[in-house]
Amino acid sequence: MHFRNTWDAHDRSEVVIQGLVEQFLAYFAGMGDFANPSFGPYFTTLMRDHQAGIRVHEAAEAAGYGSNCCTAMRCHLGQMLQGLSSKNPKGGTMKADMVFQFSNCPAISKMAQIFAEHMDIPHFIIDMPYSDTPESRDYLVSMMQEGIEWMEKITGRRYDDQKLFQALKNEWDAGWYLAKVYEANKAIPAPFDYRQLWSLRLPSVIMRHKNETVQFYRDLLAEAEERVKQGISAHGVELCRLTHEGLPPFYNMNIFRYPVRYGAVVVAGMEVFASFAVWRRLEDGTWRAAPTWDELLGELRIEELRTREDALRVMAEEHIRYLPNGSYPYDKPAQYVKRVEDWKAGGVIFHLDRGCRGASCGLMEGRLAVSQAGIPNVTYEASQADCRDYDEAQITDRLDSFLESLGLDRTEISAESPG
Amino acid sequence: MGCIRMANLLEPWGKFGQMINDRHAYAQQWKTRNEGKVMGYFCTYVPEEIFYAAGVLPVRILGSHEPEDITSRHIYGAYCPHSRDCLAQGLRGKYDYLDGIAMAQTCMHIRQAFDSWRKHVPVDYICDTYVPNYISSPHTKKYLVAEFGDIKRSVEDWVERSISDRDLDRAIEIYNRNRRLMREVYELRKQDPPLLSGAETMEMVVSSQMMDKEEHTHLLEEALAELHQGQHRVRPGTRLMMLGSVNDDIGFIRAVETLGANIVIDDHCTGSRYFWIEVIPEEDRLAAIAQRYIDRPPCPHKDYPEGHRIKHILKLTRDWNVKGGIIAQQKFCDFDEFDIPFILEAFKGEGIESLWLELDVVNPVAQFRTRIEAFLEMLDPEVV
Repeated sequence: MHFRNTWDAHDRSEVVIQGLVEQFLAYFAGMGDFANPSFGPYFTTLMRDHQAGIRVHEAAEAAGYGSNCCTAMRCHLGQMLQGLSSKNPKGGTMKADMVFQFSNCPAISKMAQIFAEHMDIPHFIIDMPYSDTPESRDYLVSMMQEGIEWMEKITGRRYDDQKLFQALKNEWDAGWYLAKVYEANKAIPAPFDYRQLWSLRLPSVIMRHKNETVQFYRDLLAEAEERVKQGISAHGVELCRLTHEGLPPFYNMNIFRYPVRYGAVVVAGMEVFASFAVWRRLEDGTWRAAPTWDELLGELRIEELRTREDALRVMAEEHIRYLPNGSYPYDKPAQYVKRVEDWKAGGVIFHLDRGCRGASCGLMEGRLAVSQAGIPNVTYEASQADCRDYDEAQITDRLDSFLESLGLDRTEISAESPG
Repeated sequence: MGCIRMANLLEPWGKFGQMINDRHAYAQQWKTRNEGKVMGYFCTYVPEEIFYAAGVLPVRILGSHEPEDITSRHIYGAYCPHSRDCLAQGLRGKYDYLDGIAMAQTCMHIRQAFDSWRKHVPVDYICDTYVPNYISSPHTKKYLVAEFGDIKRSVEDWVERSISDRDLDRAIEIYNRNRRLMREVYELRKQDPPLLSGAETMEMVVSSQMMDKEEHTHLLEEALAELHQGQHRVRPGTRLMMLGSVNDDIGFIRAVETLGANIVIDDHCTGSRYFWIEVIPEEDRLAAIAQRYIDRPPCPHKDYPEGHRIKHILKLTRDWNVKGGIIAQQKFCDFDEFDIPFILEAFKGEGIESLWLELDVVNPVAQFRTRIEAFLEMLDPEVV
């Protein structure tokens, strides 16, 4: 539905925004309903269809974007070069009104620059400071103010602050419920596994600023709590709990089903937790669900959102303090160790991602810290978005050895059970 | 800050290379002579002027181009060789004399080296500043001035003295003079044949990143005088530009030049990008310094959304009459790689041929030699 809505968005007088802005949807809500087909709507399809995925990578490589470029962005570049970024599967094309990018990862910003030039679409970039200071908040707010003025100029529409206020609250509430769901996964047995949690992010990806998303996560939390109360586990059997650090290989999410054959369940990991949930991060590496919306406003000494400035300050607070930036390596090792402790895991699987320096930063230091803490761990090398980087035989061999070293045996448990 | 004591037997242009070889001894001697602190920095967006104004010697942390096996448990192998080589120096204790380290946010590769360093190589002072990636944003200056203000206060606490406007003026003046002279040297490379080889030029720039700027300027004045007297010449060769990621492999440059080429201009942060523009004085000294870091030729990591880098590169190719370009990219450098298709296209539009090489800690000399020979033969059959 999300991508279907893209093709007739202009017919509904909605703005079409290209760029990876899934964490910032509330910001655009002030423009009214909008469509956001990322840098191209076929990314998920290309992850599932490996041959098609390889074709877009090869198209990007043929144009000179080599193997060191971020694999996810290379996939988007391939879509762009093959004319897929704007291609309606039922025929015809769509031209976005703007390319807008928050620079939470520099590779994404570079992509936005290349994409906008190639597609001849006006673009705007907001820099996300890797620094938690009052000045960095001012800096971000100033850019967001400028971005709103720019969008008004480009589209000829008036930005509606009231819509921003409601969307921002929804976004926060959705993130808060999601963090609570992840916290519920500390229970033994865990109500969900990593793969299920990854799928349950999807409403956040496409509409985290909407009322129905808040309702969805409220219901999900109730479901998680009920499962915990009844001792319902993600896979029926849970002999061992693991964490997974690094982005998952999107084209092979079944990697999370593999440990299930041994009765092991992947229950936590930075990338799944960090994308959309809001967290209070403590110095010792602990992550706890962030304050509620009312508590947040209290911290910021805002009684009620009445001005755009206040709303953007809340948004800056959300992104600088409460949404973890996976590209900042220094704190990661302590977080990896603490996550094992808090989610009561018996080992860590590290994905060394050739295709993302941001997600890979801190991983080796993290592995060192985890090893020094006496926690068993294993690494595998692949990438998030290029299936050619995934050597299935080698990776499953490594996982077999790791899981056996934990004293687990292959069981007859079906890896296809719930989720 | 005292005078450098260096073997007088060397020709002026040989002293820069010698300085690079003796960089650690130099820094330790400098500490003794000046009873000062030495700060190692990982990226040229660190505002050295502020440290220098406090009597601190900023030295750039660079690798040694020797094989190493001690970083693999700290840095994932798909990070660039430069970042691993830098960290290896710290883990081996080569920089044990450092009192502090500083980082200005650029790429994840060198960020990882910095973070591993601060975890495993103890120092008294750590400066970790965010320099906006969208460096040309109208909001950057205000932010950067605030960040630089924080740096100034932290340095004052560290050295236990305040940094006055006069201190900053002096530092700016010394840095500007050094930049101006290096620019003058670069201007002399417009001649054909250039008055100086690319390897000698890189030695000049890299040594300036390791020396007290005032002392480097003394050496530079002496060396420039020799150039002006016409006593220093290089043989004619095909005029090339070297560009790409950070590249401090002077041996590699020298190898290229022995094959009948002259590297007459570059776009590296170990070359022109480091010193290209000066600080233009403003009443608010930190604002003036900030503006200089905003306006300097950008690192590929900080070159969006507008994209100034390629225009700058093309201007250099025209002004220095370049015939071919060697794109020397650190293996795994994702940011440079995003730019490469555009650089190749821009070069093609100007009729400039290019050769794209991936650099490692230690480079395959024989293979590179063959490729460069073929490239030069293609550019200029008569020379070869």
